[in-house]
Amino acid sequence: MTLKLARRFAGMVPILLGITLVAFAVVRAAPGDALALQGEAALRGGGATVAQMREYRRLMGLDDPFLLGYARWLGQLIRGDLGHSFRDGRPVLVLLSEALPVTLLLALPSLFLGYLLAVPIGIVSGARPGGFLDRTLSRIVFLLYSLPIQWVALMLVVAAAGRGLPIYGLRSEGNRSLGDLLLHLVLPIACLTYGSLAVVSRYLRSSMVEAMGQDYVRTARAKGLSESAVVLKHALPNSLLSLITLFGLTLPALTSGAVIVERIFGLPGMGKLTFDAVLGRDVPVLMGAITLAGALTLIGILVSDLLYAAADPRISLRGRRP
Amino acid sequence: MKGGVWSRFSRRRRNLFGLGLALALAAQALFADFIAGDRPILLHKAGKLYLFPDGLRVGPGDWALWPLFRHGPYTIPPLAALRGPLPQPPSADHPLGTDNAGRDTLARLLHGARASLGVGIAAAAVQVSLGLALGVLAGFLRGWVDFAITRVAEVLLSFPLLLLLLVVQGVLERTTLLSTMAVIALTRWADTSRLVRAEALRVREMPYVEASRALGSSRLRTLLRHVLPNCLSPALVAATFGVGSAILLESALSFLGFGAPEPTASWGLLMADGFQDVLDPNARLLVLLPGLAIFLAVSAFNLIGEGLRDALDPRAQGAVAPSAFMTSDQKRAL
Repeated sequence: MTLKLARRFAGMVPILLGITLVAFAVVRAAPGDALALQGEAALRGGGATVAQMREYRRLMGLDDPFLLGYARWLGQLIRGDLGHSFRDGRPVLVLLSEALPVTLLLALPSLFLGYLLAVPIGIVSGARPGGFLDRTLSRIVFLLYSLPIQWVALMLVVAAAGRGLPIYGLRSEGNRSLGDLLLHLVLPIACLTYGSLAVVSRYLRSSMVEAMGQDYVRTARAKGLSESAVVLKHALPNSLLSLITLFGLTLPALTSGAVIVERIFGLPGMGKLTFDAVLGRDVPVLMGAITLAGALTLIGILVSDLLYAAADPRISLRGRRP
Repeated sequence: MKGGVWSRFSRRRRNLFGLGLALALAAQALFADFIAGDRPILLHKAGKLYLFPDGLRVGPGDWALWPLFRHGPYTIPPLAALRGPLPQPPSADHPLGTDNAGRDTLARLLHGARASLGVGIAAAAVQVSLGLALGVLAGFLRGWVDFAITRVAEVLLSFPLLLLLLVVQGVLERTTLLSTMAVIALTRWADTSRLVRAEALRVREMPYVEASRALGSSRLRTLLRHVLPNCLSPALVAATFGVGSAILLESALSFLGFGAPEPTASWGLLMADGFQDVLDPNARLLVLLPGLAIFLAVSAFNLIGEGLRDALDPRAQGAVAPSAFMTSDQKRAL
């Protein structure tokens, strides 16, 4: 298992390198003298001093040719030095480690809830495709699918305003209780849940439909099993496997959705950190944030691969691609 | 073949409904200037005829043909003309109210279809052309070309989409509709290229490709005459779903302030305006309506996409093909 894990991990190194290259290139390849511009903006914002800027340019390898600069920046990255924020001079690593838990606090429960609600919907729809329940549920899910998340979030804000549910921030002032925190998370999590719910239930439905057409389901029916036993014991387990793969892909999608949800609900997570960094042209934070976001996806894929291998004895990690 | 696809597509009412809705929205976007505007469509002044004249007054003896609804999407009324605080609630003059600069919401909604559909369709076209070309090359040539293209696509697909787009747009000195379209297309081609590559890998092993090779066709001819045309259907489906997801991405970026620049009429920007006064009941329509418009446009293209997918591949009837899932997953990435 350890060996497999190591091999899988090694396969991801090129992609990880690619991610850092993109993070570096995005900032370097900006049209015009973007760096001078960013420096100026940061100075005007009252954040960085000239010494800090010079230090940053050296640290980020921005005075060097592209590849040399990239190598130098990568070296710093590996040593865990992501530089300091232009805005308040705090280490980027600290900023990221404060923001990530907030985003995970949103993403993981909504992932869990999304699956919890999607599995029954997928089973009911997939067991009898084209039936009344399937058509109704499919229509509802289709509607959820095409709604912009910022709209859903704003509608929730409008609906909840003045009804006791908090609509801004992570905590009420001076209140450190867990209940208060949970109350603040209700709306953001609801927002993120409906999206993953739509994706997961559709995916499960289609793999259920596929499974119901397989020979082993016909065999199960032929030997006289009840319909519920056929669906739950034969078709479902095989369909659930495909949901594990989906897990790795939904996590980054939720990180992305968090950009909007965190902006609307004023939550200090990765999305808000990135958004504020973009507004303030806070380059070190930007580079750190997209590198971390890319790496998170890889971790998601890795975790779902491991779960898959654990759940299905036929699959070995050798030779499988994400 | 063509007829078969159309007859399978048109058999379902909802496919036709989606197509009709998309066409209606496109027509509305094209003719927005005829529907809502504060310039005359035609002005006859001093014996000359002007089309959409700017800054010309209609004097006595002139005649003009006006749009149905006489408010422009960009016109900010002079302060003296304002009655009551902004944003204004619906009134006889402004049937859907105004935004917080006093601009008419209905006019901005109608003109907003241009930005959304324009960016959506252009981005989808560019991203699918790129993805089709690179995917076919990767699948047909294999070797290092395949390796390079696949790796780049994998890297692009590892980023949470909106985060990457936000950062790229943020680094640009100023964002425009064109840059929004470009960054969406340049990050989203990877999706299409993966699907097309898989199809090309399958097609290149087909007997007719072997036959073409055996007849002595050059590799280029085999590629263009036999492999490429047979990889078109996944690309076509991806293009349709791509329009919907590009519309959602544009609206999200504009909502965040890094898409369509002010004062463009864009559904995302309208929502951002509404967000500023989200607790003001007068701003509710400003949030509600653009969202519904986006919803209509996205579902129209998703309906067409699902219909096309089923019509092009009858075996996958009703199933969520990997294509649909990936696009929708990325779309959810909003």
